[in-house]
Amino acid sequence: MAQDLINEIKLILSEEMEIPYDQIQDETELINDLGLDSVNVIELLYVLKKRTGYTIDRSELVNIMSFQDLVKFIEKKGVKK
Amino acid sequence: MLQNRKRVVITGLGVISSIGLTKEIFWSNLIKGKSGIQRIKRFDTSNMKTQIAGEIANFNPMDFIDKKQIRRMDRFTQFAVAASLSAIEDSKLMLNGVHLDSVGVFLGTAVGGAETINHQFKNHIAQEIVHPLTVPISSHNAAASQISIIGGFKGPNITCSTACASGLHSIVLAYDQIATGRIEIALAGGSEAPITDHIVNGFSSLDVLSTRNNEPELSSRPFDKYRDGFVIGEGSGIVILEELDRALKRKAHIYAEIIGYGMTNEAYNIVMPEDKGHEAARTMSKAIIDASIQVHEVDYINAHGTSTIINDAVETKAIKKIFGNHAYNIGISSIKSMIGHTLGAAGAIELIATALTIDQNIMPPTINFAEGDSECDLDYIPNYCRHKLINIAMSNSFGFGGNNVSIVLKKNNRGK
Repeated sequence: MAQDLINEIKLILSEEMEIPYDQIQDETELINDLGLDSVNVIELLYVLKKRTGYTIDRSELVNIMSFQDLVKFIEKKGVKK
Repeated sequence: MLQNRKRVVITGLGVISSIGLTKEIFWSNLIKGKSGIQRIKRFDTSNMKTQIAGEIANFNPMDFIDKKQIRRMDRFTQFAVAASLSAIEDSKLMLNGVHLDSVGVFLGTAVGGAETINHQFKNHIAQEIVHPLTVPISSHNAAASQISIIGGFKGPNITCSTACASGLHSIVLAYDQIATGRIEIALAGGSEAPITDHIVNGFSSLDVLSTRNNEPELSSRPFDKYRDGFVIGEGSGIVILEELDRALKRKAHIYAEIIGYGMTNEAYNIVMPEDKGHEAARTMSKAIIDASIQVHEVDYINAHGTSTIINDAVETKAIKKIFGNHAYNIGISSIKSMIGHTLGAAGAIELIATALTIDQNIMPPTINFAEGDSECDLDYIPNYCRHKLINIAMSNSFGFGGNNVSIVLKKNNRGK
């Protein structure tokens, strides 16, 4: 995984979602470990799009459980919309 | 007159205003006659007819609210939550010993989440992404809901939008709920953050705003001969209301007792008040009857006093109609001269000023009053506050759409 992308998403989670930077590890689960609720997830998608240009549909979220899943998914998408 | 109602007292005050972010600073500046009106800094006003407002420059939501929660709050909600927390602290209520389903929240706002709507609509027009929480954050009920979420208050949660009377309407609705024994405690008041380009322009197009842009501090001049319109302000006022026996039992400080109110609609015009003052007089008269007092017992009136040509003349006419010769003995002031017109928060902030007038026996001034005219010839406490024993006071709120409400407060000497 590209370190730049990892750092950027960690930064978004910590700055915008108030999650301590160090608490976010590859295996960290977004909902179970970080306590994000469904509204947080919608906010996260909004912030991701605003700051990085990546668009993720809610329907695509089903397979994203951990921080690592999120990064990999964005990496795979490749193109910014 | 409603028989057997419980007595309701004011035991906590919280205020966020352009002349103070605490009750103490607000009151001290109010009796000093300090103006909070300045040139608008929040957006570019260079092409606007009105470029002044009662902006709160030094409000930092993080002084009151957790950063995580701020993200989901419009500015008007931030003001309301900050004022609520201050009011609870002021009341010294120990809420952990209270059944939270008997605590209600009643909040007034005229334009709700105007700033959020403004920003997100601009995003929408620019085909940018619109924030997913735009609707819940900007809805009028957002502030009242957040107060309940933060405080855990599970009683009735009501948002009232009756233009410039919203704040006072909310307080009388809360009063009724306690007076009829339905709840024990209420947080009630109003909040407004209307200083956006679209709201200022909207009022400006209606030709109701002062354009004294080069003399901001002199622009809001209720009852003065040279008044030229109102000045928009922002802020929030929240009071804690509770049943008298409850307040006595816990030895709470009682600022004043609510002894009656009058609520009417003019059924007349969406903007203009009925110009003979019959309707405003009818509202005040209902309040006096409801409070079971005689007109000569009223010592002070906190006027709606917007600084528009018509409001101040009509309100004066109405006061004379109800009070006759006693009208000339009553101290009348408009704090809008200092903080401007905070729309849906105005009635609540003015109720706080009225409660403090009773508590402190000091009537705040109407600043910028240089000269009355033939229609405004009462004692508006010009420019300097005045000490006087205040036993009974009235506060008026008259809103667009003919929404009128008057309330009567009385000094409470520990339950007597």
